[in-house]
Amino acid sequence: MTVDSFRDYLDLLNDGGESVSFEESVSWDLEASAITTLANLQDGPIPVFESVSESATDAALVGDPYRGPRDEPWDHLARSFDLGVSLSGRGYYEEVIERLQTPREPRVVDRSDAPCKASIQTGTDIDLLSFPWPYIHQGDGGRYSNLHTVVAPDPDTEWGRWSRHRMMIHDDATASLLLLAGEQLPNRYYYEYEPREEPMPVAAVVGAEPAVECCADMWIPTGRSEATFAGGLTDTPVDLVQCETNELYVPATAEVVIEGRVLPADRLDEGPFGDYFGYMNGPRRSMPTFQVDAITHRAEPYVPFCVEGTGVGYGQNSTGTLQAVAAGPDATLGLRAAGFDVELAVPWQFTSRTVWVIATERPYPGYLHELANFVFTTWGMLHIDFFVFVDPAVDPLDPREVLAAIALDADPDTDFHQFGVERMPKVPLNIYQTPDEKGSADVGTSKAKTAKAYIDATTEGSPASQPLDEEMRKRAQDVLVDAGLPADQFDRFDDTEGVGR
Amino acid sequence: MSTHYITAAEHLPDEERAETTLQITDAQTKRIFEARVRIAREPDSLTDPRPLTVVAGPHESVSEEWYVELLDEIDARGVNEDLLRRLADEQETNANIVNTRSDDLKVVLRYLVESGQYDTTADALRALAFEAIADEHPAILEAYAEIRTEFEADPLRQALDGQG
Repeated sequence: MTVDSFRDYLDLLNDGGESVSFEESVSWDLEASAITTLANLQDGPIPVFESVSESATDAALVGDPYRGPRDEPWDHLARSFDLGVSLSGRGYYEEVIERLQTPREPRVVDRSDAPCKASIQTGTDIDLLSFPWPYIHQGDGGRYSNLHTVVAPDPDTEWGRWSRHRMMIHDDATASLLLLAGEQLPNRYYYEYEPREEPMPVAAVVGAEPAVECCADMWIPTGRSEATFAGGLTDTPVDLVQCETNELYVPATAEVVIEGRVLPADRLDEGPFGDYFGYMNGPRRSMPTFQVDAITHRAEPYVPFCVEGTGVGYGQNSTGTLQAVAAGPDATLGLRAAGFDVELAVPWQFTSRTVWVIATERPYPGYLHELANFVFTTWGMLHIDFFVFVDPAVDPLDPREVLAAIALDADPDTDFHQFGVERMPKVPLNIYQTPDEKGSADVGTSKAKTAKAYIDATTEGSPASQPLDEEMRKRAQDVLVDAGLPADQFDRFDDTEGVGR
Repeated sequence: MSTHYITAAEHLPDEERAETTLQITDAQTKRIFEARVRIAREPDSLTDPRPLTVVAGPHESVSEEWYVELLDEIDARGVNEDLLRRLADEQETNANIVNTRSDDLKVVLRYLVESGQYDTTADALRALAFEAIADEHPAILEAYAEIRTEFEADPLRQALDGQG
């Protein structure tokens, strides 16, 4: 039985002993995020804060609910999609890819049947700050909602376009949305609605069912609908309901839906915010104004949030897991559909989004360059800085295998490639570029650029042909076995030499 | 009212102690809003000083302590609700006639009436003015609608109206 609401997903975690409820009151002001940070760093249970102090709405906070177990990050979502238990990483990827190949149209339900309409605020009743939006990091520019799906109109599909954009709460009825030009939904605002001086209707869906959050993190091509892929992912149509104040459709089981308009030629401060790179990122930028027209919610809603920045290194959080278990299978499918002979495309688990590992055949010289070019110019040009290409037999979900491949098969002189030039678009959330290098913040877009890179850690074309190479290769294998990798995977390691080390 | 506010160095006015509009964050609730304020580095030069943390730097990781005196709050729509509320209150006892002089306007308005589009020039002027304000200044109309609702829901006012 697949999970069709955020609440059912929380029940699944609770039944499996993978969440912990806090009955005592917790503050939205750094306390909830501090507890969540510890849970993320220690691979602990998902914290559910049932009582939040100084919150006018009887809402609960949930810290990084989509974070999966460190050794099997796909486990929680695999169970919520009824894909079975004890799947290997490759097994999970293949099952998700199979589901994504059969999208299912959503089902529209009446307003009276939509749990997200239990309470409706419009006009002067709207009170955004009555919800316990967390203040996540010391130094953030404000309180944030950062684990929601933004729904916007799309001329190619009546179900609209879904994606994730953090939202800084300003007051009762306004917020600023991080819309970076270059991504699909922001492009619609910057290049279609704003030039026509029209507000763009949007809805921020907070606490949607897991399949919705997964598909909002995928790179769904233009002309296709995330809603249909969410139906494919669960093998069940997603229930949608029409908004109160616009014609958009939103997931009916959502905990909270914030309806409104992104106003043309109107900006508010956004940031600083400690985002997924793991550092506080500033300065504040001018970003589009989200004017709230209605808030609908379930009774006693659950509000999920992500402590961004805790998904680097050994820590995991919702963003890191969603990248690995949603964006990864989707990218693998997309690359195969584009004709590339890819085994798996997986985000490197220590960086959330910046580095990807792709296990692939390399049928001819220049193939990897073509592959990198396809991704950088098609999907991930903003967030991805570089790739590591490995043989199909190497498991990109196993960091030790990937590091071994880099150590043994990537020659720093010949296999590390700068890709393109410094003009490649770059997400402006990094801290290694100065504000000047990132470009103007006034227009709400970014001019940030950087060169991209890839490492060719495939064995094709890198034989150990010289005696010196053989000696170095053997020494490298010795070091890796000393570091704990199994000796039987290396061709030049003599088991008897390892005895007694 | 909060006891502590935050703003960014880039928002500061050039001169201290001058009355200005400033975006500030309530340090306790994290509500972000604009207000008419005076600011100063020392509290003595303000009448009702409150601590104001001014953040600066590429990641706003450095700060200075200033002081702020709130004069009037402006909501996020850029509307001074206190001013609007005062005007609405005054209007309770004022005449509701709006006057203007223009031969051209009168000709155009009379044309609209005599060509059957409106019943009177007053009707035409009222409708067109509200349409224009709705297009150009929708935030004022929204804020005013809320204030009107507040007025109508005021139990004291309702009781007084009942007596009348």
